[in-house]
Amino acid sequence: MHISEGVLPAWEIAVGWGFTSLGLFWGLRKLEGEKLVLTALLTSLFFVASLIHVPVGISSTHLMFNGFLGLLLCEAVFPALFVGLLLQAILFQFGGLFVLGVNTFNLAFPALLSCLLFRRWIFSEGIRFYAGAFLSALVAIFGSGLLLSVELSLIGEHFLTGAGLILLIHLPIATVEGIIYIFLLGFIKKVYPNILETGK
Amino acid sequence: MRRFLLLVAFPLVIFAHRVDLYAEFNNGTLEVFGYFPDGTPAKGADVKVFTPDGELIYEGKTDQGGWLKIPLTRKVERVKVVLYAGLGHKAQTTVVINPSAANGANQIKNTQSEPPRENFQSQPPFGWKEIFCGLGWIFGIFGILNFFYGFKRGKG
Repeated sequence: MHISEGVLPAWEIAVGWGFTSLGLFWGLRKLEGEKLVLTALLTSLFFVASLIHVPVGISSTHLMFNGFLGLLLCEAVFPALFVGLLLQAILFQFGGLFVLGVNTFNLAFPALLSCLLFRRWIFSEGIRFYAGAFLSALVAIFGSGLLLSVELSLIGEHFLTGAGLILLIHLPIATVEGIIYIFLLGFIKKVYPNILETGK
Repeated sequence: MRRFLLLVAFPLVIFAHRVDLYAEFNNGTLEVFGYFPDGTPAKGADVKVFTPDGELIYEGKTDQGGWLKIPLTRKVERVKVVLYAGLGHKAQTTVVINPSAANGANQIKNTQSEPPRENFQSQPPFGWKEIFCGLGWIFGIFGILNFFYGFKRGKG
């Protein structure tokens, strides 16, 4: 979901940078002590995970992991994804530096939403835990897709076609990520539950 | 619904990280090739050709092989080729057309370092060097932040 340079008009880029700056300001204020170390680790996870391609039908897509970062970092997801996307833009030419604000907002805002909606659920047991972990992946991925569709519809792309296509493409990856989140969070809860507390 | 079914029947790999473009001018024809980093052709991608003044002189779509061949009748020194593969994936390049070249062909200024051949093999869009470099940067950036926060704490 990296928007390339030269696609969006200047005003959309400016709005994206505005929202991302607010998120960064908020996130950096909460980034101290152990949370900073966790943020660095999860930024590395995001940076590497999005390079892993998963075959879907006749083509392939890639992991995103923004929901996982959102669940564990909450507001600190903004600096984490900003650094990850900045390095992807510089090293791999994914997205670009001008659209970095928009790309960061597209991934980080739905991730933050996942945190606000489902973070409390992952401290529960049973079905509530599984649902929280799984739904956070769905909200983060489809939320990012929805934002992307809205932004592209503002420059003339057909909204329903774009949104439908994103839904279709990302349904398998959201499902796969949801299952991965369940296993990862279950493992963390068992072996190192303090990590979940660190994210507060 | 029909539009949606068409999309399903002829899927583009528009959920890749980026799209790449190669363009060259041969014997009066501008040949454009759109592809994704894994080597998959960008099928049905929109291609626009502009003069240096920004005038649109041609508009078309790539075929199933990712190619579009444009007979360039207009006399121009260079053209800007823009390819849009949907969902925010865009690539552009400039082709410099020099009619005084000995072979009647061209000098090419292209943003891509490796032009695709007939037996085009997909290249990984990233290498281990870049991945470890990125990881190093991440820990460096957050290390500096940690130092900054530690300094602030010490001051407080």
